[in-house]
Amino acid sequence: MVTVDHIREQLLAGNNLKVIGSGENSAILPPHTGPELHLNQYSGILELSKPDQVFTVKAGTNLKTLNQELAEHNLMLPITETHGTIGGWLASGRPHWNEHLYGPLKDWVLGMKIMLTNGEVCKCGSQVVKNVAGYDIHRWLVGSRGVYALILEVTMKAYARQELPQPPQLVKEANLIHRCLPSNIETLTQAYQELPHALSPCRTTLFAKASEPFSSTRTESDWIMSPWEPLHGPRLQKAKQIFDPEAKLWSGGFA
Amino acid sequence: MGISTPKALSEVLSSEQILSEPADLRAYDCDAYTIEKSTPEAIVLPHNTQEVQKVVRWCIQNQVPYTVRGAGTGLSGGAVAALGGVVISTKRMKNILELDIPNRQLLAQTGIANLAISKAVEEYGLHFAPDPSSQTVSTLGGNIAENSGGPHTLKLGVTTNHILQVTMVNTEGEIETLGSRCPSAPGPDFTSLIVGSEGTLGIVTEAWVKLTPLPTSVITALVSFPTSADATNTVAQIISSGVLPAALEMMDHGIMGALHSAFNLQFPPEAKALLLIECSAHGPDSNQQCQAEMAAVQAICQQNNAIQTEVATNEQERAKLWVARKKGIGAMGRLAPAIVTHDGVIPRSKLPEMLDFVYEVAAEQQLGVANLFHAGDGNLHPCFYFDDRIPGVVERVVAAGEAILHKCISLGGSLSGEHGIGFEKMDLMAMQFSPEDLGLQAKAKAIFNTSELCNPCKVLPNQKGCIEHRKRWRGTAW
Repeated sequence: MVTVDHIREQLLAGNNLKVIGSGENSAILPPHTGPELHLNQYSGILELSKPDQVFTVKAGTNLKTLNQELAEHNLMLPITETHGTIGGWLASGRPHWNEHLYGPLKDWVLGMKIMLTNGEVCKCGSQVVKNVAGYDIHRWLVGSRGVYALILEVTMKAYARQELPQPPQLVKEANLIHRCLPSNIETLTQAYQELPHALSPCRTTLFAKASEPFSSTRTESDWIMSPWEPLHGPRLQKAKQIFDPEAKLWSGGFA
Repeated sequence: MGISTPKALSEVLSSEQILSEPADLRAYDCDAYTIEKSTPEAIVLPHNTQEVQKVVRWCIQNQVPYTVRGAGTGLSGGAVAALGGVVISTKRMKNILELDIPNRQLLAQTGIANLAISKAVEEYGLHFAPDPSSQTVSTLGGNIAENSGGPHTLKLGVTTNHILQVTMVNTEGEIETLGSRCPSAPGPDFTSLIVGSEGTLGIVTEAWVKLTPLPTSVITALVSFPTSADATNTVAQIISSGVLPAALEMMDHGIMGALHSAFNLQFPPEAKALLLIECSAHGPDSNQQCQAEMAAVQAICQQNNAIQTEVATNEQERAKLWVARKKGIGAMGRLAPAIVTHDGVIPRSKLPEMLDFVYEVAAEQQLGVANLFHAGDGNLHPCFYFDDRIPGVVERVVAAGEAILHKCISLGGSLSGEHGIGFEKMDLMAMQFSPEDLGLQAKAKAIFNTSELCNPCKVLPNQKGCIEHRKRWRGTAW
């Protein structure tokens, strides 16, 4: 059993630390050489209100376990992938297969409890489906790769259980995700002929598996999520200085 | 500063873009939250991002506070120039800059009215989904600042779910673009920090927004119930059944009485609460889907003692049913010289308990109250009506409001579902957030704003230079 105190101890002593759930979503992120803080033992549903369709879960909870437990209440998180932990999915910001039906994961996140790099535990957002009190830090942290703070708990919306389309096996193994404007999808699909790939039902996103860096055709306003795709921007750095001045957590490949 | 501000601003904008007559300053001294006022030194009317940048740079250079303002329909004081200075109005920034129908996206200046976006794309079967009640006038920029909701956000989401990319003039006076036309780009989502930041992190001048297909089938029902508890129980059961109506709105007997006296709307004599329920769907099977949803909803209503159900299947009938919801607050205005509408959120299952509490508080403070809820979201809007000429009544209204918000928080809810914190609820933030939580909020703000010039004294309590001013406003207003 991993406690918050135990996590705090590791974080405070940390240097270039990467927080890992199951590690299954790491293939999509830049490589990291350095110490790891494992959260997969920090797991379990803390609260679940069936009438409100809201639950709070520890970040290290396995997605498969989570959906099995929600199913007992006839609820679901509308994501059919079964690998990884909920914290890993949120930190990586990885798109899921059924976005065309239910939107991205960040739309289901209502609030978070996080640990700052000074060991302080804070909450942001709320436990209700509509809330405008304060800045939406919980949405900002989705996709932040565990660079600014450590996600301890997440409060999310659940949905009434339904049968959903299953992704092909390749989606789990994808290490290159390329999203474009719907009007450019034909061009993009052409460009990926040589790689094993799957086109998402929303017809904007290609999930591909590359054994070495792949230089893809680019289209207007598109983006690529892969270990070789650097992220730039002054705000990335500014936020790092504010949230983690001593670089206790890893850089996430933010340049 | 002082008299020289408007004159000095003419270095950067033409004089007809600068307002500083006493009547102008009065018109801009508050937004739709009229209790607290503060007079700016000048109002500027830029046409585009570059002109906003010129003004912001001038403000930075001269250390003058600045506050952005759309249509001024905000309900928490977010667009008020708390420390004076310059109000930057987006009134002249109403253009649609790019329309991308194949990709269902549109780029507009943020002064455009919410409804004008939907009107512009109606012929393509699309609309901009957030629909705050103020949508005929409230602006895209205002919606972004407040993360506005509306009656249809239950199914379609609030503003933040529909904003792809923003261009803003940041607090360093630079033009900065955040987000991506392809949603959910890798990395932390800075756009989500900007949406809902109440104009405190920079001035958003342009935005790419998502366009949503208009429903191809809509069925609306107005259902009356013998007690409020029957209506609130119905709401909780609909949500847990898995049916997600497009709108699920509740009006209590206070609103019904007001609607009756203002518009002569007729309800069954034993009815004490109304639910407005709308099911909508898009696509080839939409009609079937809508019918099935409505049948499921009506069955739940029946189990909860529904008295009467009126169903609308065409636009004209639908508009008639929506009168009960859309004119509810307006009708309240006829009951008393003054009304104050509150905004709080609770878990949906707590609606019955919350409503009882609202009635208790109103009785205790000897105030009239009527309730209009975005019930499906657990977002309540208790509306107190009173005669503000009676000494001490405003204090009682404020006390009642704070008691209700305390209750919302104790039930696990939130201080605001859509009106924002502004300066109305700034001092109440400590109810919902611990000092550590507020410290986190301040850190998030510091990513974009450390200047104390961009919309100061909003959202976060205990900002430097704001406490004295706050005392003064409270002193004069109450």
